[in-house]
Amino acid sequence: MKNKAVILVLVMLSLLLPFYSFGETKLEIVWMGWPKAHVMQLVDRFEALNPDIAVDIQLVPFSNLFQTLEVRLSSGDTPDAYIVDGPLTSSYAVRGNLLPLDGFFSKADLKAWFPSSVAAGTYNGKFYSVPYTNSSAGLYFNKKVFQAKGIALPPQNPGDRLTWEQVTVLAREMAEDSDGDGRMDTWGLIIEQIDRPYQLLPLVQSKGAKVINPDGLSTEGCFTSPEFLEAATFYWRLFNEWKVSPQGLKDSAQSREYFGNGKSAMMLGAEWNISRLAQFKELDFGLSPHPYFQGGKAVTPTGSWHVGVNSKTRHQNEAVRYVKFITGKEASITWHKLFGHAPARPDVYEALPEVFSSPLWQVLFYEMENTAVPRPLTPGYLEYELILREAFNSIHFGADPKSTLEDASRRIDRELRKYR
Amino acid sequence: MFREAKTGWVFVLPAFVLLCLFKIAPIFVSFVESLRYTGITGEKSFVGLENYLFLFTGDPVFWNSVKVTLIYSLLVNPLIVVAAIVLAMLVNVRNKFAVFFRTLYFIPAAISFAVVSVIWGVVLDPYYGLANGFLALVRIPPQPFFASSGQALPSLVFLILWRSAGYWMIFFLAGLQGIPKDIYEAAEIDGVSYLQRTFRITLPLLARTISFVLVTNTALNFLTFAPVYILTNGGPCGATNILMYESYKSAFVNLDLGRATAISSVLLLIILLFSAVELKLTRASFEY
Repeated sequence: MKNKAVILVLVMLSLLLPFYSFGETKLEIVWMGWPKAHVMQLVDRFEALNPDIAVDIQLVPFSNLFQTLEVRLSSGDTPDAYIVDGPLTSSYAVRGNLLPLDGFFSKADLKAWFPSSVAAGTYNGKFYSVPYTNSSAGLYFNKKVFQAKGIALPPQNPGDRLTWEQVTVLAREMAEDSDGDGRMDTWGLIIEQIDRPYQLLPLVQSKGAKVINPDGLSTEGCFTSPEFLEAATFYWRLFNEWKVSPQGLKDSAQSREYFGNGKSAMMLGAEWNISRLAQFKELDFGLSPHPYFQGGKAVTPTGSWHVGVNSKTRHQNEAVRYVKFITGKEASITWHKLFGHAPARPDVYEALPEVFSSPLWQVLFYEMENTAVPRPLTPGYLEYELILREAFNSIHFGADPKSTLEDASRRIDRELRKYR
Repeated sequence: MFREAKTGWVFVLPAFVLLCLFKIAPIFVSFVESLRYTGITGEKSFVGLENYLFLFTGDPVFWNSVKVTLIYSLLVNPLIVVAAIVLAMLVNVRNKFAVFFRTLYFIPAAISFAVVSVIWGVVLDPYYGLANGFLALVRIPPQPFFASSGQALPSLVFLILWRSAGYWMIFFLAGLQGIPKDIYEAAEIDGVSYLQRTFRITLPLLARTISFVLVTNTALNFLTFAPVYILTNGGPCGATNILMYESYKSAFVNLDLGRATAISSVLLLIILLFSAVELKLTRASFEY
């Protein structure tokens, strides 16, 4: 009987062995839901270089990512490191969810990234999140649709851009229901992220509108300025008056699907589409610089993903090693080749001249250097973005821009008061 | 007798403890949270009824959410109950076709709401979806479905109806098969028509089942979340912004726990009120 008890205990202990890491630190990382095969290439490389660290990477779809992080960060000491949407750096920092990294990165180290990217990862003078990728946007166009209509292609040289007024004329000429069945066969213009402030704030900023007050804690007077309302009304007209853009597109993938399958003459979209549109074999596309409003200024979106360390992690040094690897030159080159994101490191552009000397990337590189405006710097960016996104969503479905934006401003300011 | 009751309590105790821990206790915790303000670093302060006052007097979104939630509930619950009863009556026959159709009607209930939402999102795509493809065949203009503030809520009701009717059909089928056959035989002898039989005999004798299904189904539907989260995000223009989704946004995006828990407390009160009214209206008037 006693022998049986000893054997039972030994068997139970042996069942627990796989869960015990002998001298290995296990890092939990929450990451964007990019294709697992791509992500694991980098994780496997990190583990090969750091055999004392095992990485448990948890991929979360974009639509759930921010909420998942909120729940995880408020409830424990994991994840050890996580992907950070650049504009949310201040929000995480002010709530104590990010470890200041000044002790791990010297001033010389920080020169490895674009200054604007480092600035986006800094809050109140402290460096919190390391730039992982950058971004820009332009006007993609379907060459075959233009040629079929006998219309000259949009300009493709860096800085040589159309006005929004010209884009509207083109879109109205291109949009058609060719078989008369009541369903549009070709749209004039698709906006990739149909209601997201990332894509739409450059429109209002092109008119010279302010998008947040200088303290980053209120929007009073911003959304209801004549410039903001003019831009919002233009956006409304695309869907409801000229009907050149389809309503209700749920995400980037669906927008890309429509454009890639020839359902739209143009698409305002981000730089990652250069590689992702390659899946549409019939598509012959070009890229024109981001449009601007006549009399206004050229503004393009920028900023992208960063990586941060949880201030409550129990594996600080290991988490920093992961962050340094994943944002390093080797991993950034690999990631760009796998997924097409714009790198946040100038040395990656120099290392891949065969990619970045292409006309498409030259257009975007010009924007990153000359017209890029980062998103509003506010600790309440998550709240700001959700409420403004709802407002844009309602406007594109036909709601009155003025009253919708007035409501949105009131709601945002109420949410931001907790950061005062 | 006391010993029998004690034995019963011993068997019920583990489930009762779990129920208290995971269902009852969170209700009280949530109510207490609704009386507090949580700062950005988690520090809490008591603010009394301020969150409720803001909801009822200053919140630009709350009353629309209440209206949408009530309209949704008044549409979806009677429809599901009626559909489930009709389906149960249709399959309450003894032949192999009935077995096949019972299974067919039940299949949607075996699919998660998330998957159902994605599937119907594709079918009801306003431009190139299957539904509009069929409508085009019969020369009906394309419909916006979830892309219209006028059609989004009815489309949501339809989705929930499609997913749920088969599940509740099983309960009504059990109820129908519990009605003694001799009552129907006596009615047939008396020359009662099918419709009279249904409204004078079947439905009254199903009162208990109707009561159970209506109350449970109502409570569940007030907690609808996945289809709104996946398909509409509460839009277009707040047309599907039900209270459950508004509470979620408040908690996990706006990080306003006070407002979120105040909304869920109000929702709980609405559910209790609806349940009380439904129990009163569907009380069985006689036994058999």
